[in-house]
Amino acid sequence: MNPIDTDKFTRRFGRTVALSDVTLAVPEGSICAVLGPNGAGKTTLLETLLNLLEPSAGSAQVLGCDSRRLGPAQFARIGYVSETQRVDERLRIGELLDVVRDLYPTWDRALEAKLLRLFELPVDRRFKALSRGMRIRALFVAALAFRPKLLVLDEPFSGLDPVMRDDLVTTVIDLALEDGSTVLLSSHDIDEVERIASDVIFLDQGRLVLAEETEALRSRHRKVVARLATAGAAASPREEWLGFERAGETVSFVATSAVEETDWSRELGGGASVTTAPLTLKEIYLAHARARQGRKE
Amino acid sequence: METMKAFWRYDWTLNRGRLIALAVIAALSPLAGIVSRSGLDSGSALVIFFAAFTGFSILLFPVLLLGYVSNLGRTGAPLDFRHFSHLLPIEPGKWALAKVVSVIVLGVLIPAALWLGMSIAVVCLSARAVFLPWQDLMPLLLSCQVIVSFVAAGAVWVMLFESLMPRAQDQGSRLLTLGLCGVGVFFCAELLVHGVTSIRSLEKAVTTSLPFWKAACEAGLLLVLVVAIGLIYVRYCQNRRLGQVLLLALGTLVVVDAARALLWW
Repeated sequence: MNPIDTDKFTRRFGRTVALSDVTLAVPEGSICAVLGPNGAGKTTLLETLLNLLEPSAGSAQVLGCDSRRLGPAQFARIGYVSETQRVDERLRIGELLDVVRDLYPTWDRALEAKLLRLFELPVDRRFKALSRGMRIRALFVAALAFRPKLLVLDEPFSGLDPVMRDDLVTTVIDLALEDGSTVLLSSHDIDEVERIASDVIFLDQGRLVLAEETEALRSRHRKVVARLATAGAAASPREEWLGFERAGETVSFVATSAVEETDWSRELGGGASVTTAPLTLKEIYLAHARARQGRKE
Repeated sequence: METMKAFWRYDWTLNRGRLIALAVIAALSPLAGIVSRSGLDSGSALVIFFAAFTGFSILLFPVLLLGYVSNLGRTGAPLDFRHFSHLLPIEPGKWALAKVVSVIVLGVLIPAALWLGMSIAVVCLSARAVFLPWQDLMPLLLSCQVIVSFVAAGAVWVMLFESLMPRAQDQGSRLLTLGLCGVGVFFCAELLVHGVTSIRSLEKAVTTSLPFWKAACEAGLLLVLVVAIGLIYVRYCQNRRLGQVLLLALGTLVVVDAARALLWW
């Protein structure tokens, strides 16, 4: 069973549709990145999955439980870190850990101590006196020390310096791999998650653009550049070719399906000289986003 | 039970200032009654100030209690869906139940027990009935010194109050602090300058005119006092603008006072 399954998951704020008919599955043990521009619905998706917001329509199963009925049994296995998460500023790091420690049966004190040491956190410092980086690291300790089965991270690395970000990412991934946990991670920085995400979900204006394994996504997308044998060849672009451009006898586009099996000479007219190149996650995302934008216009 | 324990640890960490203030007020309240009676007998300004200070505390008690009941912390945990407590593995309603128990025990039962204990102690020790501190002060409200004492005591309480309550929600109390503190400090300084330490000496002081040089010294002294307090306040509150406003308000009072002294002369 997948840790997260949604079916036409929808969330509206008044007349604004923040999330629209999102149907997806997050496989167990995966590191799934939710990507999209600001306002795409990433935070709304995560907050609705965790029942912080109620869905307007559709449903979701989180750790085998309806998201509307999440209770202590599920929350004891879900770790959550968000840049918008509120903690009383007067609390010290140690006090926060004292408060939450006894609530988790699986709390690992050795791991807590290890993380505090690794992140160089002063336990007697109040949250109001912490830098953004320290604050996030403190929240990570509280979210990781009970070895959650599902770790939900909402833009946790944005605004951190590269060294700190790298340390955090490495720690989170190592722990997730060690425990076989599932990580659902939202970000608008695609470069940031490219190297760690096993699965990706693209959102745009509350709609699901695609949800797929990263490797499969990369392998079926190619940048295609072809020099045509005759100027009249390749009369019309296909729907699965994104960003189709033509300059004289040269055409370029992003092919989105069955790239390896395609007989490009036949597709583009006999005699065409074709080169294909792999794309980064960011390039794939941009190709889809621009295509969607083009369709709207 | 783990949920309750976790909540109480959290609640005590955040609200111990309020809870200790509630307990202290409850314990001091019977004492204030007996002290105010002594103040009447002796006419001592210090005793009246203490009685007024404690009298104000009784007015603040429900406000502090309300603040404690309605707020888990500065972020307003119960209503703020992004508060970390919403994702803790706790039974629905347990967090709120723990708060209710805390309010009853820490906010009501313990202060009530302290008040009762202190009342019994005061009655036993002084052989006098306990009464509310302001009862004996009412006839004295016409006295300028009592008003001044009240204002100064109120100012001190508001400053304490402000340090206990969330800053963001208390813009009003800041302004009140500013006003009361200014007026209180001004009148206290005024009384000190005139050597007024009791009700009886007040009457003499307000009817005595000062020579010009003494009036000027008084104004200068007050100015120094005002600047010093303003600077301390700026430092304490980390709020330059507030300090500037305070300086401006108190400076105006100094000018008015100097003008009054000149007119007398």
